[in-house]
Amino acid sequence: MEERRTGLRLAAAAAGLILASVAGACVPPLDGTRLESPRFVLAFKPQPISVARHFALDIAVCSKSPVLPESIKVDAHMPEHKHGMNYAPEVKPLGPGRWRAEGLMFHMPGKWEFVFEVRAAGRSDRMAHPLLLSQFSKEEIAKILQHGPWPPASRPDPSNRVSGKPEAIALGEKLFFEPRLSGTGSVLCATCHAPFRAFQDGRPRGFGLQQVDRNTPTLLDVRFTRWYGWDGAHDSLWSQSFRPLLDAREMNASPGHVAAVVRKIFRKEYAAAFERAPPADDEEVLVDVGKALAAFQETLVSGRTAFDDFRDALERGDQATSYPAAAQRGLKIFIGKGNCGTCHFGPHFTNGEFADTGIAFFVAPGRVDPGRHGGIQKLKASQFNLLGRYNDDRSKSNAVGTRHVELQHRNFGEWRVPGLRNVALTAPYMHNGALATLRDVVKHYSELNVERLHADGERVLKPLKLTPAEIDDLVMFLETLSPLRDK
Amino acid sequence: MRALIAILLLATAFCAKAQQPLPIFDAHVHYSHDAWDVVPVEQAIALMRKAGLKRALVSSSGDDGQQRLFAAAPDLVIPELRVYRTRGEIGTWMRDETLIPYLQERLSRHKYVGIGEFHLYGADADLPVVRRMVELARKHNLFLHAHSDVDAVERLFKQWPQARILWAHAGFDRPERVAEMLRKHKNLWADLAFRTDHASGGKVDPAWRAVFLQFPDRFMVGSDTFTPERWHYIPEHAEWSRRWLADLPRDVAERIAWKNGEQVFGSLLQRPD
Repeated sequence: MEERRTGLRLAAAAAGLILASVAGACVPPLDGTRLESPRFVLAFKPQPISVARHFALDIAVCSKSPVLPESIKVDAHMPEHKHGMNYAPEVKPLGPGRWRAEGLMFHMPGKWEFVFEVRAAGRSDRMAHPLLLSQFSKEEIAKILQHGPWPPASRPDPSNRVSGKPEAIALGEKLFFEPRLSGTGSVLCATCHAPFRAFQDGRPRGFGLQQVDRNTPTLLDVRFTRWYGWDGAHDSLWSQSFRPLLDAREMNASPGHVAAVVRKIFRKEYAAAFERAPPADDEEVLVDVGKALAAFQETLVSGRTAFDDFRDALERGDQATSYPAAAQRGLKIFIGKGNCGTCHFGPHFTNGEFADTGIAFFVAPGRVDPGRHGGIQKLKASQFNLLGRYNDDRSKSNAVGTRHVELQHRNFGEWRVPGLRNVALTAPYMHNGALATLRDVVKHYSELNVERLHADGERVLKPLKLTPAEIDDLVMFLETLSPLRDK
Repeated sequence: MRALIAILLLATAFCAKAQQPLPIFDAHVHYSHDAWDVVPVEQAIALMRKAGLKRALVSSSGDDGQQRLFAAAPDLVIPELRVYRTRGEIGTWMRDETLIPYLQERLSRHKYVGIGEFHLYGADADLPVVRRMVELARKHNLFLHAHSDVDAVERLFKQWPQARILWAHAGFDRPERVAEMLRKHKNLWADLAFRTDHASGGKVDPAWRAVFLQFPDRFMVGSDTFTPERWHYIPEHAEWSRRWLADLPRDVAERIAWKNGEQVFGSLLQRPD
């Protein structure tokens, strides 16, 4: 590393004007950060500091004894890197007890230390002050803070009268692991949503009784979702939850079969959860199974991450951090030139809506998955949507989205923007599992084929053209969005 | 008795016609190179027929695609010459000198009704390559199918005041602005491809309704198959179009659905060189 140069020394001018007072007390004429040595009190105030930008520093010194400062040396270095600045500051007198150091520059983010040496009577008083230089500007920090805090506040789902109810959660958990709910008695929710795989299955496309068209999403943090399924065909967790039961490719059951299982095997638990015996109407029982399953899934909230600790430290103004430098660089790309936060917004890293990101959506030769376009049509046609009679919120105030969502041409081939929490645990990626690794996903956006996107106006999605190192950094950042293993 | 039978036959014929789905002239179809393998010619034609298309104005990035479609279904496909050899040229074609020989070669070999759809904005419309393309259109008496803002459309008309321009997506502009342009330029038509702001839930937006009623001869519908998958959206799009068109007076609906396209483009292929 570059050898540090000696800071300039400047004879203290107008020494007699420097405040000298009774031992242990004097006030330097500057409103800044104060440091103290046995003989002096020093205050300093830098101009705003950002990486690789020159700045100046105002200094004031007063003497706690009759000994007056003869010269001041200003320096800064990175203790962990064992190097200092690339520039030697010049210290100029501003008046009695005041100096300005010019030409300082912190050429990289990280832990720096200001060092001031006040020389008097043949020896120096050394005063140091640490400073962690964030690589993030105020605007960037504001963007980062939007991705928290975590976990967010949650409240019971008003559309589900047993949301948050312990008896319903217990019933939902039993149902989640109950193979007899399936038509064949061989498949359970956890077949595809395996707890040990972050409640997904690790396959490109889900496989219950047969392979389906889409990737199995994680259930972690599912309670915070607005639309359910890659196409958003469901507007509540409970209506989404019984859908796989009825799909011939997944669990191949009928409402009658599900209701019969509940009446025969879970009568007691059902009564505890819903405070009534299972009704005669199979459809009502089916919906309640969905609501119990939803109550259980609402408990699947992921833990705090290394990113959350970093984000909270920034909010506190605490610059000390163990958040990896590569992750910080990746985060800078994420909120900056990557423009990722436009869609992967907020604490959940998703705006909850839908987008076409240039992924092909043929399912087989001659057959396409229409994505959100089909989802909206299914949603609107469903008797189980939030506008229907099974919404336990009689005001239907939670159905605004369902009431107003509009079918548009662009919905054809759009997919739900997934949250990015736990993303390192949920490979493969995209609606059809087309991309095997996080690196593949980042490369997809880096080399984005804009020919697959409709061209008009300013593009949100553009090829990021990242270097291999930048791809590494962005992947590193994404990996910090999974819970800390020791917590 | 004979009169009664005649009345019954007439009534039956009338009802049958009323129940037939509205024919659609799809004025914005692409059959680009990335579609040729995954949507083969036979499948593409089958999708258009399934949609009840009367005709389709088709262009291809890589002109061979639409020529194959045209050869297989000349009753259905009306070719226009796209300026992109690959779709990647969307943002570069207007500065690419090699484009002109390509256009000249294609124009010497095949018949077209227009050049487009091309993406062109603002002052780029006055670039030398664009000017030469316009000259070729003038020489061959071809439409220009412009995915452009108002500024570029104005510049194209300035270069060639007699130009006939099909304004792709109606410029994604407001209905009032579109009306202003249609009023100003008698040779300007607009396709409504990839727009949904003019109709929702089968109901026509009031501001757009006024423009459609004021300029019933100047609009066409279009599906815009900008990715191969969207070929499978052509039938859905045709149905969607019929639903909102049903909210307009029948004669206006028929004009926008197919008559305008048929009238403007249908006879162009038969014209003498």
